Amino acid sequence: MRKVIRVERDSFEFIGVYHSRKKMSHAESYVVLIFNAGHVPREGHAGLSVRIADRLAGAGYPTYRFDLPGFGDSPGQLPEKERDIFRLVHLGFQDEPALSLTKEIIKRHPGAKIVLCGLCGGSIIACNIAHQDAENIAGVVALEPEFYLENVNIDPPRSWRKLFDRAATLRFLTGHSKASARVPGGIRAAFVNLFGKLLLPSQTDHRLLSTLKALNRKETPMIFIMAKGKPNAIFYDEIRQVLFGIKTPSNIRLIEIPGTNHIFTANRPHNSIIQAILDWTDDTFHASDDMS
Amino acid sequence: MSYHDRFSSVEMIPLRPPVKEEFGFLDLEGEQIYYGRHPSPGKPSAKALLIGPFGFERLISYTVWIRWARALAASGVESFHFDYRGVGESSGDFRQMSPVEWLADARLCANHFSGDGSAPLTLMGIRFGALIASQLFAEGVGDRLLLWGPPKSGTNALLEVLRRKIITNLTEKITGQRKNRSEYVAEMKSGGTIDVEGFLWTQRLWEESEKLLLSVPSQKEARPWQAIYLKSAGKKAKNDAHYQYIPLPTAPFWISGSVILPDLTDLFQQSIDFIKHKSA
Repeated sequence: MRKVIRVERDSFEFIGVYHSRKKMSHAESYVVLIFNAGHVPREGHAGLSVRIADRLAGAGYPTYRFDLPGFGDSPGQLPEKERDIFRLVHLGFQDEPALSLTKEIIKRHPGAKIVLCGLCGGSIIACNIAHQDAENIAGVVALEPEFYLENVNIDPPRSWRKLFDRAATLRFLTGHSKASARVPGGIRAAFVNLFGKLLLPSQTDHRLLSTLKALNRKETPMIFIMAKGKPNAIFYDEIRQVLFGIKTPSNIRLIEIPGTNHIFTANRPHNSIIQAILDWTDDTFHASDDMS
Repeated sequence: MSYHDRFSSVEMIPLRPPVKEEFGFLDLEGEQIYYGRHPSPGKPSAKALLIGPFGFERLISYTVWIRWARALAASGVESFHFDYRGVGESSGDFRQMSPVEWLADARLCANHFSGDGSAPLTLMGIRFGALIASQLFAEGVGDRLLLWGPPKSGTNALLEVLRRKIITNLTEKITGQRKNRSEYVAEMKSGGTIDVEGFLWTQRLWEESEKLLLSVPSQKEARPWQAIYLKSAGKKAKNDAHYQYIPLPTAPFWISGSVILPDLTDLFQQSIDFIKHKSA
């Protein structure tokens, strides 16, 4: 059963939908909040956010989906062009309203912890809010986050110039070029450790990288779901290695979905995504409940 | 520095209603139909039921759609929009839906929204929704009919979306078997489902869309109606009482998402004038 929710707080107005949980479970101490996928309305591309919310509610997690100000039904303001919205989201344009909304959800569910979820820009907002309100955030579901401020071509040049190209060098060192296999992984990892940050493209969102590092320090559980082989997935892996080295930190899970696109509409991998999220919530939250 | 001042380096377009809006669900055959009501300040001079597109076109055009609903409200026209069952915020399995269900959804919303009939009701449809609106108008519902970019038929609209799917598969280098439009249609007709922009299209969707034609009102129709087509700037077209052509500054807002809030002043103003009886 879905219910429309209106939240007015800190001069912002949010319109959203609440998916009440369909069964009682120990998951009730966790509430899920899904932000807009990029700038599109809160149902997400081809209704992905609705389906995630329905399934999580079915598994016992009360779930909210909200439009942030200016998006979907929520009053607000937006720039004319899509590229400006993305740039502003990276600069924190929606962070203050998203934090305000998160605090309202916390108020409505005393004692519960919040799991934040979003796709593209929504995942960036989720990471930023998890960083700002770590005490109340149980984890982050990040679908296809973009780690650069504007579209950047991370494909190395095809000619001899790639020998002097930063993107090509980073791709080689992180194991994403054909030539990578010729050099032992340990040596490449050492070079990534030494020079990785210098090799990142100038358009990299360093604020988001700092956030990711901070979340990792706090051991915030995170799941990254990426379109396998697509630019965001490759760039994410390059960044992961630059930040954390060759081994993925234990609080981060990576799921790569083959044969799809950035917004997960191609070949409709909705069931795989939802199952990955359910597995992660089970492993992350139920496991810790069982131990306590 | 306030939140709103912090991002003032970029020109921001306000998206605010003149008065508080109402959002909720209507029940139909065990499903929830999502709606938004956009009241006008004071007593409305007219009402407009907005009947939208489905699928990716709905997603891409939604910001403009809401802006249009609020522009109507600000001009004294109370507006109402909804999601078809299986689409957007409404419940239901998209695979079970077709224009038959969506026409029933529009009928329910028209009944719910028209109320006591004190203000004239315009049925306003865009793209696939224009076909639904024209059918409803032919049933005798509404006092005026306004259509934006109506296709000739449901299958005509579906074929346009299929063309975009094929182009997207190529540009995004999507793996899997590549097919042309005829092959996709044949697959649907033989009972298969095809994945189009994340939605599963069925044989029933195709067959019912074949029956869904643009119902052009006859010469005898006394109720005013108008179809507005958006054309590329510079392209000449003849306007008359029923067919209007308005230049678009960019690709149609239901296809391209690169401009979220295109300048649609002419389209909005002309449509408001029609709804408020300033033109016939």
